[in-house]
Amino acid sequence: MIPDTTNPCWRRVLTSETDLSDAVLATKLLVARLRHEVKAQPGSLGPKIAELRAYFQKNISAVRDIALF
Amino acid sequence: MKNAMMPVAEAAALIEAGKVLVVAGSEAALSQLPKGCWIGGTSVYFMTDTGGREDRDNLFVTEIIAAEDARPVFHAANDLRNLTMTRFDHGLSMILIPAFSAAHEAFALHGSRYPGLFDQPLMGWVTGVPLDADESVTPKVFDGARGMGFEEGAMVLHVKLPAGRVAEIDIVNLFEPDPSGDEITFAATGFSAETALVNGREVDFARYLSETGVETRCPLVANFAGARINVSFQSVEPGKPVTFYAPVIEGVRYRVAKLPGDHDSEFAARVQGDGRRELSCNCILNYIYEELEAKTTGSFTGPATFGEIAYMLLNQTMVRLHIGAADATEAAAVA
Repeated sequence: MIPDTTNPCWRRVLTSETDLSDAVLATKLLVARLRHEVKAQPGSLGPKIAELRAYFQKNISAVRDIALF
Repeated sequence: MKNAMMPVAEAAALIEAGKVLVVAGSEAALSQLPKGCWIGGTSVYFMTDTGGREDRDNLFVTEIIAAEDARPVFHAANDLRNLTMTRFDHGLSMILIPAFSAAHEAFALHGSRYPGLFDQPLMGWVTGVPLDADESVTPKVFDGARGMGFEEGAMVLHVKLPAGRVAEIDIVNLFEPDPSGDEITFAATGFSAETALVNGREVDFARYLSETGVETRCPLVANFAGARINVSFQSVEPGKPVTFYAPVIEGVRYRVAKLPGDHDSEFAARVQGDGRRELSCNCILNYIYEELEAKTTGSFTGPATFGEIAYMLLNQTMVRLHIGAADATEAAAVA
């Protein structure tokens, strides 16, 4: 089950530097890019959360990574 | 997946039998292949099961046995952002890009922002030329469907996988940042930098590297949420911008890597799995600096490449692609 965009896990992962070493490579690279963008433009957090959630909707095999957030 | 070095005639027979192939070799060898469902890229350096070797006659052929369907698609540099639009609903994509082309630059600078790029595995490499080639020889990619080679643009092979199979990409990076080293950031994204912020202080980057005796065979390393990503030095000359084989990214914190230990033991310690069943490529800089011509990379074989692609452009890294049962992955997801 993929958490709703209001779940604090999304904000937490995109506004922290939590290590995601156990995640699949695509998750790590996408989160790194989104963190960078949120840091540069904090007002973009909402759309970035939506982008990250959409990624998991298309990647069922990566959904386990959400437990790391 | 099945990998083998083979003569042109043998590769041609596979193409004519309708196999889905990714092929690496010399321009002369690739030019002899018939039309079919394949893409190719130039490199004459290979890691084989008997060690690294230069070979201008034979081809390194990877057959994607699990493919249900596949289609090669050519993208010009200005169309590369659409590379995800023509892929299958379930599968993976391979991409080959000529070194120093406009497509190379476009992908390196903007690829990670292409729509849906991370939604399906994208693996590939940057093609190159023999190290002793003169300037008239250029890196090429080949469109097997049309039997044509290009020095500009990118060749993408979209592969459809059965519902029960998934592809996974991982990277093998033997470099680790030197924890006692300086923290280096850059004010702009790009393949070159005249200045850098070293521990927050702006410096002439070439002078800094020279004065501090940095070993520039070791890359800059950044932490991408747990993935170590390298940027290799291309040139460091006094009074000139330092150039790189991949772009440094504005605001990302880098450290120069420490020299790795013995290659064979480091590789063996970090890499598990059966490379004979995976598609892999390894950086030409690893091939040269680690003197891989006299070594093996376990059971992992493939071309030595001029940049590796695992969703984004990488340097001094081995990239591996595995196709396995979806059940195992999904079972782990709910465990």
